[in-house]
Amino acid sequence: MRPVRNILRSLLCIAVLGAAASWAEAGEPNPQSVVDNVVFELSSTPDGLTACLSTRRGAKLSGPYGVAVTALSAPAAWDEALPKTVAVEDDYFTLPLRVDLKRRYGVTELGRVQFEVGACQPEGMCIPVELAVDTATIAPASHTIPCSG
Amino acid sequence: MMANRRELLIGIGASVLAVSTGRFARAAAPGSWVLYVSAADCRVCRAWEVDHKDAFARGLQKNGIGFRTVTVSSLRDVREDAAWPANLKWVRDSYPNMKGTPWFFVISGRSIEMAANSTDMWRTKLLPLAA
Repeated sequence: MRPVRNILRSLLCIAVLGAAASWAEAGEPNPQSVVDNVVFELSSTPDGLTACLSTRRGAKLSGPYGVAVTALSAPAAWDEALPKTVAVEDDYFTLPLRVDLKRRYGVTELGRVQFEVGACQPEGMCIPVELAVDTATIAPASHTIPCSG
Repeated sequence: MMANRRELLIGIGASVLAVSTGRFARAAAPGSWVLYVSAADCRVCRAWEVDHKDAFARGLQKNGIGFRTVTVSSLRDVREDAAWPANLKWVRDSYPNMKGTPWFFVISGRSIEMAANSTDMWRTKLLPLAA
């Protein structure tokens, strides 16, 4: 009876460790790209793509300039017209800023997309900042809600 | 030995000051002027205009230095052809890598004496011209 119990206990331990490992893996933040103090964190989701934008060193994202999203290839893959620009009247966006892109139903190849923002740097200048990514290289979203402040 | 080193440092400091003062003086020669390049969606530019532009232009005027402005539609394209007057396009063309706003140029005749592309650089390089 005792050997059986030990085997069951071992199996239980393995299962618990496996679950913990997969939870930890899923909880890892997605890779970030930093360009001119602008942090782009991109995740693929069942619906398409989520971008979480934030900044470093006190940089700010211009609200009137907005965030422009352009499909560099396969524009028909998206369930919305691209290019699209999200802008606000406020001087700067409240960060982090989440931008969701919905893909067209049944489409798997999304191609390359480009994000462009107006980044105002702490030394007193505003510059356009671009990031182009191949959506095939973007990791799936973790189980944690991306882009929470 | 210590005194000599101190004198040497003082001498170097004085030389640097003399050179930079001379540079400002040259930039401020009669006929010099400052070109300020802004963009309609540049909030840093708006803040600088509200806080500093008038006083800076007045200080320049007092020292015989002119002040001109070019405002482009968006900092996305600071080289926007339609926004640059024909007689100022040579300034833009002198800086093929010009990106973003603001930009400040100290111009004497047909030469650019100084350029600054942030309000921090404006403060250190151009503000003394208006003192």
